[in-house]
Amino acid sequence: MLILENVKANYGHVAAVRGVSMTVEEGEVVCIAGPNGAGKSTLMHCIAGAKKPAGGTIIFAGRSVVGESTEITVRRGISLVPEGRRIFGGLSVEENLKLATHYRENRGEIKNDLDRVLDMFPILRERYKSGAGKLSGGEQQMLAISRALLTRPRIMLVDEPALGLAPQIVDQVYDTLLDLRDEGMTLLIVEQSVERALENADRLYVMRSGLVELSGTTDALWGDDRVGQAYFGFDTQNPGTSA
Amino acid sequence: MIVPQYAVDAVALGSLYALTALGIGLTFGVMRLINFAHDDFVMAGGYALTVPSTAIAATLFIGDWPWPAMILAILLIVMLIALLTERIAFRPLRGSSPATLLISSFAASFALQQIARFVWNSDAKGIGVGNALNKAINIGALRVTGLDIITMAITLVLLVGLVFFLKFTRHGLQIRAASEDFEMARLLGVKANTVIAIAFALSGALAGVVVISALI
Repeated sequence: MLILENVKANYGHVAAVRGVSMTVEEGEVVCIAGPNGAGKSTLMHCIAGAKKPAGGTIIFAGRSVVGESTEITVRRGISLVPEGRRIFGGLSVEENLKLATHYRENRGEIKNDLDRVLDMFPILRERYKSGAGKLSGGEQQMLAISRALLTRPRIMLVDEPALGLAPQIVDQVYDTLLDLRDEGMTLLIVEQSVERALENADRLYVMRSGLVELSGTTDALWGDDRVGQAYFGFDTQNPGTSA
Repeated sequence: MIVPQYAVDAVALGSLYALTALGIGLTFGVMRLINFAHDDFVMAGGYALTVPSTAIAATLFIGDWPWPAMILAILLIVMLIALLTERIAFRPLRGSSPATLLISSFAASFALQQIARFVWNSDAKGIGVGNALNKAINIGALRVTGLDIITMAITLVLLVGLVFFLKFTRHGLQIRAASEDFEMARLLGVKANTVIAIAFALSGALAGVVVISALI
């Protein structure tokens, strides 16, 4: 469904992504793990059209998305839940949600979808008219996910959903994401914790310094020392030896 | 009775400042652009009242029309100039830093001024427009011109209208969201060009009202 080939991206003269290839099949949950500065978020922005890649191809559902703006890629079914959630704190919960439906036309469908996310997250129904800035971190993450869902994505890119949340809330967020998968949603998730990635994903890519160091199914990678080596860049069992 | 008189004068003048600030604030909110060409929108509207000519004595053109037509024409002209400025000076720089946009706004400002200098030359020109509106009305001991009343009324209507627009319409919601986080708004499908064009059109309309209130 999503095919990346040799994608590169720079910030000025600094190369953030240095040639990444990966695929995501329909209905899969794929995690990208890696330390800070690995280029994970940059890659997500490239797929969503928020950053122009310096090279490579990104094919979504058979067509290239390179060079298309975010407002077009979202219409094609790619929705990004960015790092730090980025809800509109000055708008109400209702306004945050409704904004995501503006480009859609079918009013009946919009209403159904709205009811659906409010059933999924009853807290949002409770806080419907109040300011989104007053929500807790976990609630804001639910709002960010709901908002992305209301754009009717075929694939959701979720960037560090666990960032800054209490452990129980993180579990809740992942339960929600896996529920969505069970309903047929395709998910590409950036996750700093390899453990969480291995627990929740079907497949894993480990990125470091702008490159994919390791990839495979989570079943195959579970307990594999190479994951730690790829993540940290040295052998975690015998520190001092280079991987 | 001197204090109430000052109060009325101050409110009439303050209305102009409020309209100007609102016009600059709208584009700043959406684009983080400090638009130094905003005052040139006002200037352009002022010159549009006269026939384009370098003659020392200005001949009225739009300024001679019946006042409802005149107000409408000035609003439309200034909105159009604001939209054109956005298209030519700012859209090609989409995504650039605020500093770059600022420099470009200086360029737009100079360009508009030099065009005006070229067409009308740089001499000061006196015009008398809307004499009917300038007639003072005595309310008790207060002297208020018809124009003062119109300025205050238009400001009030515009402020209320703008709040209504921002609060209760789709595009208003989009503008508020874009002011908070433009990229996020786009990630949810909000069209950048539409939102920015609306902000500029509104900004131009506000500048147009300043023309009508200040120069006539």
